[in-house]
Amino acid sequence: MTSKSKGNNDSTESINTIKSITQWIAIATLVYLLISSVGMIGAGFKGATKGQASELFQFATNPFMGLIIGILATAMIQSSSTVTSIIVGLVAGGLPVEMAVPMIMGANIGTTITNTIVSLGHVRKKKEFRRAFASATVHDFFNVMAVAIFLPIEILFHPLEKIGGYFAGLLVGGENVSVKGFNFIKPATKPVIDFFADTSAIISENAQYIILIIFGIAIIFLAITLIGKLLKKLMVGRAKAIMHNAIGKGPVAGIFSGAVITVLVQSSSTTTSLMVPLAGTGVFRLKQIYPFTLGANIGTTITALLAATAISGDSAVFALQIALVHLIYNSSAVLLIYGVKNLRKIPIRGALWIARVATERKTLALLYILGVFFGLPAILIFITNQF
Amino acid sequence: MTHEEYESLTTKKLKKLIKHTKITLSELQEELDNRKIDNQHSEIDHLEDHMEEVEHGFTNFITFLKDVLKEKK
Repeated sequence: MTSKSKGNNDSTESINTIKSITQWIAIATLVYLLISSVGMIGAGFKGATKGQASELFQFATNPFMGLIIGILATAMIQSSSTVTSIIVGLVAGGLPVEMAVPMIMGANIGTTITNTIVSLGHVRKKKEFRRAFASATVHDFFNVMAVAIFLPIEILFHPLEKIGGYFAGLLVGGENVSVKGFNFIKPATKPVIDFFADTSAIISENAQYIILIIFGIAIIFLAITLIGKLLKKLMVGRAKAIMHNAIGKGPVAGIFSGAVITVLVQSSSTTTSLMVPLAGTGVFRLKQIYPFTLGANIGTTITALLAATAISGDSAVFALQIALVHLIYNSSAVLLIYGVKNLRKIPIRGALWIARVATERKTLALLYILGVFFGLPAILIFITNQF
Repeated sequence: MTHEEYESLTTKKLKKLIKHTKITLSELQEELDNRKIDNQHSEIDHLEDHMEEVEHGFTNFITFLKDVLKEKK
């Protein structure tokens, strides 16, 4: 190697290092903004409802309404992390955990729209489309099935709420502590929250809390979108290594890899969408894609847990409780549905069936998407209003 | 080998042939599995391309809608 080309290599390497450091600093700043914005929503919601949050959300006392809110909100903005973080903020602001649990379940269903849309890109190659559509809809079937099993049990006995509450109680300390040992969050986020609270008051004194909530939602959305984009670039190498390592090692390794990749890229949609082209080529079979998808469900719960660290004071325990409910719910669903052989097969059979039907008549694929993500909620609203 | 040729074989030779075929079959299966795994590794090596594909959700949806309309006609 000549000294000139060695010098070029060195300078490229240092440019890459600087670029990488800058991107990590940007991620750290965005995480800080994300945590602050959850605090903003909590503060705004508390101020707007003046402690009467449950009355404001009276319409969501019906758990199906909560479920619908979760499905629609997530399907529209295509980010379950954003919706679950907003829910954590709302719980911190006084929304009862009982009302928030179905919303979390709905977010799980709503998020599956992203990989289904990605699978539509294969529409012009029949075989490829069938495989891609099946790999996307297996996630839909699994998440709808999880809600069908867990929501009635939750309505009757509240096990998720109780278990989440128990662990949140163990983890959260006194009034001025957020998560035990991490009481630096409140003073760290206070300047940002105060800045936006003051700005909101300047814009309109009457609607200051509503404006603060809007600021919070906008910042969460922006922060999560940008974090996702940056992490995708930074973590692609590591994601590759994890996936290479999981090949040929069975479903547990698949679930674990899906969870770790989702934590790394902070987006279950990214993980599940990545599986779609891999399945489309036919190199990966649906049986191999399925565990990765389930791992993504578990990995995505990290965002709500991260958001919960933003909350301190009395409501910290509830914020952490709903974040833990998300983790416990998704883990239990994987254990139950994937653990029981007969249940495990249902999402696969459902996905293969809908993929076969949709390949023959593409209109049905469109009807399926509109039906699951918009029609089903509309029917539930109609039924709910009748009774 | 035809059926008549099999009939002319001694039982010992037949057993030997079955054993040999089983070994060959298992080796072929192993080769096939290895090729599948190699293909999977090479597909993962193109993860960046797949990530880019994932970015085009809206374009995918429009392409799909065009196809649905075409199918309707």
